[in-house]
Amino acid sequence: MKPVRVLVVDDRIENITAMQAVLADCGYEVFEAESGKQALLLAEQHDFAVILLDVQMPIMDGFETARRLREMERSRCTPIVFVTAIHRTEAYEELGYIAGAVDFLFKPFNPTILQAKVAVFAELRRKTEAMRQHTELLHAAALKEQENAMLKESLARRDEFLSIASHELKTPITPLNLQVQSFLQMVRSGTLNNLPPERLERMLVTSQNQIDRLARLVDELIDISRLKSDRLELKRAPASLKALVQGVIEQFAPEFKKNGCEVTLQTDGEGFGVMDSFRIEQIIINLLLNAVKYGNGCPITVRLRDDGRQAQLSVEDGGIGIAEDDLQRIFQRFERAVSAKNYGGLGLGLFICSRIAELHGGRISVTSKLGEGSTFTLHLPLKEEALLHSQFI
Amino acid sequence: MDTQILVIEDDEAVRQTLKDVLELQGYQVTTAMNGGEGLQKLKEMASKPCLVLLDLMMPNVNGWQFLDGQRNDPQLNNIPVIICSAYTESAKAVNPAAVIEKPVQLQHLLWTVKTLSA
Ligand SMILES: Nc1ncnc2c1ncn2[C@@H]1O[C@H](COP(=O)(O)OP(=O)(O)O)[C@@H](O)[C@H]1O
Ligand SMILES: [Mg+2]
Repeated sequence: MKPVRVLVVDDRIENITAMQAVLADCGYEVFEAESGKQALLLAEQHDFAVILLDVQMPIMDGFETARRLREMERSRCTPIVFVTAIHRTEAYEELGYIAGAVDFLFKPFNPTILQAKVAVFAELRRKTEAMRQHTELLHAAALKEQENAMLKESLARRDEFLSIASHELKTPITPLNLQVQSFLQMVRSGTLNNLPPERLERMLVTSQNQIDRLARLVDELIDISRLKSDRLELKRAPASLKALVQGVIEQFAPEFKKNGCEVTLQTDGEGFGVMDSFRIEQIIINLLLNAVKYGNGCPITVRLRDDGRQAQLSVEDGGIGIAEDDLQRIFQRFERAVSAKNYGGLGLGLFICSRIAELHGGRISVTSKLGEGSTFTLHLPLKEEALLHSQFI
Repeated sequence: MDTQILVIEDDEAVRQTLKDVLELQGYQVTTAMNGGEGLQKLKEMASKPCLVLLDLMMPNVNGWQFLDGQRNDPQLNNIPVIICSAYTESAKAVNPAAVIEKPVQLQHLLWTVKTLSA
């Protein structure tokens, strides 16, 4: 524990020496000041258990010194004991207390009384200091605990993510694995020729689809790290939103059919604009595959509207829908509104898509009713805003 | 061989491929897209399958819920169930006849199916 510090202020050196002699044996660190000004300087640099302050001093007297000590942050609460030769009168003492004294000591002082009075404040100081250290320790421990909890949570989150991600990767690998191994078996046993060509083609198409799924998953993970480090850059060129949507619907037609979802496209305008076709396509694919995945096999309607300045592309499904409370959350990283016992998924698609929309100066909105279906809409500026963004990003 | 197997799996590609490879081995395969459809088909089948191949994570009625229904039905609870899932721990926890971990190895699948349907 730090030694207890006492400040003695007196303009007469012999008084200081006398006090020091009395206090020296008690183990305090005694500081001395020969003027009020010097006392203020010292009080600014150290924490004192008590200040013994002479009242009669030239230039700045004890009362004035005390008033200033009270104004300073460090000495605001330091106990001050006035040391005075003037005989006690009540009015005088009152003045002292108003200036901030906690006690008085009269010269010529009795060494035992001086020791006893200082001892009280020294003890108070030690206790306060111990209390402060204790509180600090408690505070540090609480902070540490909080840090630990946060660390634990992020580790748990990471584990959960890895577990979901590995499930997501293993699902498309399953058909791939089974098909490649059956082909191998057939080749080795010389029975491949017995396989009807339509069946062979169907199996190969399924394999190709699984490879595409895996590639999309890997791209999603890469996009997340790109977004995190602001490295997702757009390559813009003039394009037609209508052509992009038609292309995606055509490309995924077998997928929709297999899942029993009928997809219809209604267009009102072309949606010509400057955009990163690859990225916009990614949004369309994501919204459509979500509509299939969470769509319960209901028909899906895609609508394109274009007022010349802005295009709106909406994907409407009649599926499981989303609760009001979840509508905002699902656009954030890893956020999902379905149970992991029912649906797989990394919870990254909408996050990535809305960031891509924002990079284009647009956004994605959603309306939904639980149990009745959802409509996700991409709002994409086509003219001024799109150009503005392409210049500055 | 007229051995019947019921495959309950929500992922279209996994479901179709399981059906393909099992049919190539001479099994008769009925498929269902989720636990609800699986339970209904199982109840309706005149001659019960000798095995159920069950995914766990599925929409609407999941694999756990299917098991609840199947195990509480005295007509169905003696049919062995193989869990086919990427979550091995969860799969083992439901105490099935066997677990086949995704991504499935063909030899493991065929061996397990053959052993349990014998
Ligand atoms: N068409 C939809 N219908 C109902 N819920 C949806 C739909 N699209 C997205 N969601 C909800 O939003 C969540 C986040 O979607 P997304 O970011 O694409 O991730 P993932 O599909 O991998 O979970 C989903 O988990 C689901 O709860
Ligand atoms: Mg599944």
